[in-house]
Amino acid sequence: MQNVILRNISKRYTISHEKRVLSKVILFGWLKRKKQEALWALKGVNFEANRGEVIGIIGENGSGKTTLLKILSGVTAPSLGSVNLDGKVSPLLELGAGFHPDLTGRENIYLNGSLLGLSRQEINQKFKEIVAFSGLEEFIDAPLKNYSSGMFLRLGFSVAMHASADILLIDEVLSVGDEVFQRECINKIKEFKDSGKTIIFVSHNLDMVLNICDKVFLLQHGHILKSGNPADVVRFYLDTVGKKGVAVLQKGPLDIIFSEGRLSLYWQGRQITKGLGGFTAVFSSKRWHISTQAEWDIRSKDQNKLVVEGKWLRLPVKQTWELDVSKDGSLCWQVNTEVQQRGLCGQEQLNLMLSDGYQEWFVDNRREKFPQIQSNNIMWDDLLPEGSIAKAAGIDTDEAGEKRLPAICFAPLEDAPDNTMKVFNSDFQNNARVLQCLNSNFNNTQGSFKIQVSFGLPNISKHIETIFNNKMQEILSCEDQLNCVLEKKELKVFWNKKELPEGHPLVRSFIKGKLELMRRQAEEERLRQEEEKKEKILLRTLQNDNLRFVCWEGKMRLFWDNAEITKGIGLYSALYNAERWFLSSEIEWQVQKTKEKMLLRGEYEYLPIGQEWEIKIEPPGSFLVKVDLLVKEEINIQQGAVGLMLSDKYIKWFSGKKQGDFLRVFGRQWADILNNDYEDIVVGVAAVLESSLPQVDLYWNHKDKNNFIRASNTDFLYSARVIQLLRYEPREKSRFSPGRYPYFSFSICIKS
Amino acid sequence: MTQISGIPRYLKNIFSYRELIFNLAAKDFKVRYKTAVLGFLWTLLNPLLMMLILSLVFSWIIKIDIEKYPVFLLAGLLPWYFFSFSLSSGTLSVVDNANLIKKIYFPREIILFSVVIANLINFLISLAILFIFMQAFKIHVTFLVLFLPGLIILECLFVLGISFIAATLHTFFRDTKYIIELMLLVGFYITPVFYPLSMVPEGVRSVYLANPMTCFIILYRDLLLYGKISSAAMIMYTIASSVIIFVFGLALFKKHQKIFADYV
Repeated sequence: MQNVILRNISKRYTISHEKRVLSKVILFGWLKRKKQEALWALKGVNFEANRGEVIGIIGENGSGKTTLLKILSGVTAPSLGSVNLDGKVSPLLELGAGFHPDLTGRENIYLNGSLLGLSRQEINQKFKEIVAFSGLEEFIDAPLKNYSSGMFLRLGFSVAMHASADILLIDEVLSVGDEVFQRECINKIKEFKDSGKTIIFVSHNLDMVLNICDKVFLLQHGHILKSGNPADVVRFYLDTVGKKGVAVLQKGPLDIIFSEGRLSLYWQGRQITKGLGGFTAVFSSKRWHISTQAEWDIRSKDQNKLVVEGKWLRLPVKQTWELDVSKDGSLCWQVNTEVQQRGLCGQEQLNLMLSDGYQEWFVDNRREKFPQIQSNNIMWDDLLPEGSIAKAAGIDTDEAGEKRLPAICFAPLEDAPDNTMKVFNSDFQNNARVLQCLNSNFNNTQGSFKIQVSFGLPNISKHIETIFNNKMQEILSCEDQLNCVLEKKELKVFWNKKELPEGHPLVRSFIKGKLELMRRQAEEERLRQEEEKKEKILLRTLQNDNLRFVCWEGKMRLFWDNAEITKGIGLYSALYNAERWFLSSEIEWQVQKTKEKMLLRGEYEYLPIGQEWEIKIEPPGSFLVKVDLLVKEEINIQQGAVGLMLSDKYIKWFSGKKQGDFLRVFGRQWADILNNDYEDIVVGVAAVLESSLPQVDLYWNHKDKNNFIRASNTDFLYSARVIQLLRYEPREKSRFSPGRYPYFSFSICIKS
Repeated sequence: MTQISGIPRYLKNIFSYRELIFNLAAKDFKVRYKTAVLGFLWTLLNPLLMMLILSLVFSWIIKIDIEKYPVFLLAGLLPWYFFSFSLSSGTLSVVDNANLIKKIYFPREIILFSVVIANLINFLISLAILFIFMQAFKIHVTFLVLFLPGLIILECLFVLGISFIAATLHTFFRDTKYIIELMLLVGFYITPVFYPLSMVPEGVRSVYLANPMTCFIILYRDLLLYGKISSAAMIMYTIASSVIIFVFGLALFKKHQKIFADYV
């Protein structure tokens, strides 16, 4: 139940620069009044408290805390607004106020008690209790001037606590006094709270505020800047403490707090920065000088934009930060650096230290996980390779749900060739992720960063890559200004006809861009060829359900469910001439394909013979193959063969009548296992049960004793199984005169 | 802070602070005399010394022709000193108690009440001395002395009223105290404290009588020394002017006391 309600409270103080003198007023009248300056100690403050609540009020000195208490107590009246108090307010602002040093403790208890509205009788009743709580029994009749400050405070607190108020006000107490007494005070305050009284408490002691308050109000320049849960408000306050260099920008879920050279970012009330947060640094005389060491002034501030200026105390360096929050909630952070002396600073950097809840980083087209920060790590770990020039960086988390940190993209709005992005793991104490923009070639008197920080992008990786691509394009498009010449084995780079020194970032950038471009072109070419090849292969493919026949680069191959079952040269024919086998894989084939049929035609290079293959789909799971010889000149062929070289995962062979296992080992020579069997018309292989390979048969319908079947192991080079059909020509028939001869006709059957 | 409406409630509220009034007055007393050897006798010493000197000057040097001059003088001096001391310390009291006013809320009138009461106690004690002198000079007390408390209360109202105005002014204009001191100095001479009204030229007598303090001193002397009832007009005028000044002073003070804490 609310018992304290303040509405729209404003308090104006007038500051007159002259002493107010009655005689002047009498002599010159009211007409000649000088203009007075108004100072608003409080502006439109709304404040409320419930019974049984401990309310904390925090804020810098001069933020209006005490004025608020004064208004609550009635010590002064507000200039505007209404005060509604239900119950008796303790009128005491300060412990021990009204104590007189010349009076004894006892006399002061009575005096102070009556100031707090207690009657003599009430004081008499409570006197023992008051003295006991203060623990000053021995000193109660000594004058107060002989008390220590701690004793003074004990007595003050004790009297205040025993004044029967419903609303207790305490201004900046408990900072003095020993720990035991502080604990007693806290207990007493809790007792009060439990008895349904309201305690309003102003303090700089944030620990205590966190400890005992139910609700905290943060005052700044007479406004309530934030109120609510003590932990949230205190953290917010800690980020905004400072004398003059503090300002807050708020937009949607984003809160940006600038505080004396550093930025803290909050997303949906949750802090996403760590350590110093956003800060800059310049490098001079062998060390980094951080922006928090500068003296900051707020130049201008409106709802969306903040301009601050900082002067380094020990360096002739000045920086202006422009912080601009755009409509889409991204922050544009522009930093202009002015150095009085050329070459004083070698480098400058801009950093964003972020929560270690981020696990993934992105730079250009890279994407990686952050390594763990080791507990002995006292330096920052650069996660990018040395010398790399990155154009955009980002950070993301794999957490999900409400408390998810927003993905952050960190990219320059205007590209400066000297600037590069970096990603770090900080030292273990800060335990933070760092995104950095570094200018390692800062010799001029002026430098600038213009960084856009975007939050909560849905596809951060893609976003960064797009930025990177655009940047690369930009760099490469300045080719007409940039020339590379190879002179006496040295690469010289010219920018607008002026030679650039070796290692100039522009050169590195350009070369990197060039390499990237070449890499990309090569990649594109490879992809194009692959695509072409796929198309060509498609022209040389017969598909029979999940069985596929492909003729490619002289080899005829069989695939089952996309897995090749052939090996080595696959399906082949061979002709024996002049003590040597001529294999069909030597032939360049010309392919004609229809839906069910493929026609292959080709010629041997060293034999006057051509071959024509017809492969026809014969469902289910079969190909019917016909091989014709096209003899151009008379030639002697004693033997011919067709075979299938198959995967060595096949371990069994069979024919119509026999079956057996292949040898497990491969030797230097081919090893026949089933040899020259002329009675059978089928030869095949089968795999063991576990294997998914189908059974493969060759059917050859013949009634000739010169035809044989064979199953073999190849040599160790091929390491394959082979099933073959062979034909021997009788000596009188081994001469072929020009013409066309049907030579083989068989079918390949695959059974799963 | 409860909003006060109506005079009875206001009086009740002030009454509830009665102990504070006395405690503050007692504090003033204790603090003032704790360090002094003679204690509160100092308070009496001042008017007595003044009486001695003025008696010497006017009986032996100037040779003013007034019967029992020391008693006559004392009967004028004591009410004047009550007025004068109350006003000069009342003027400063708000500013002097800045540490209380800035830190603690209580009705600010309390301070002035306590100042006047402290001075009243002094006044009452010194009145006892006056009675001793009267015995010594063979002046008999008549039944009219029963009206003395009423007269004293009336002077209290007047003193409070003036002090309220002065204290309010002094809070905003710190040179008020010099003006008040100057006025008290002048007032001492243009009020018939050490001379009778009869010595004042006829022409300015009516102007003289406009000064309430003149009336008060005449009333005190009539009551104590001469045992006669003053003219009804004078009594009515004194009552009316005191009440008006008290009400005006209190109203002025109350109007501004809310923001005293900002100026002290």
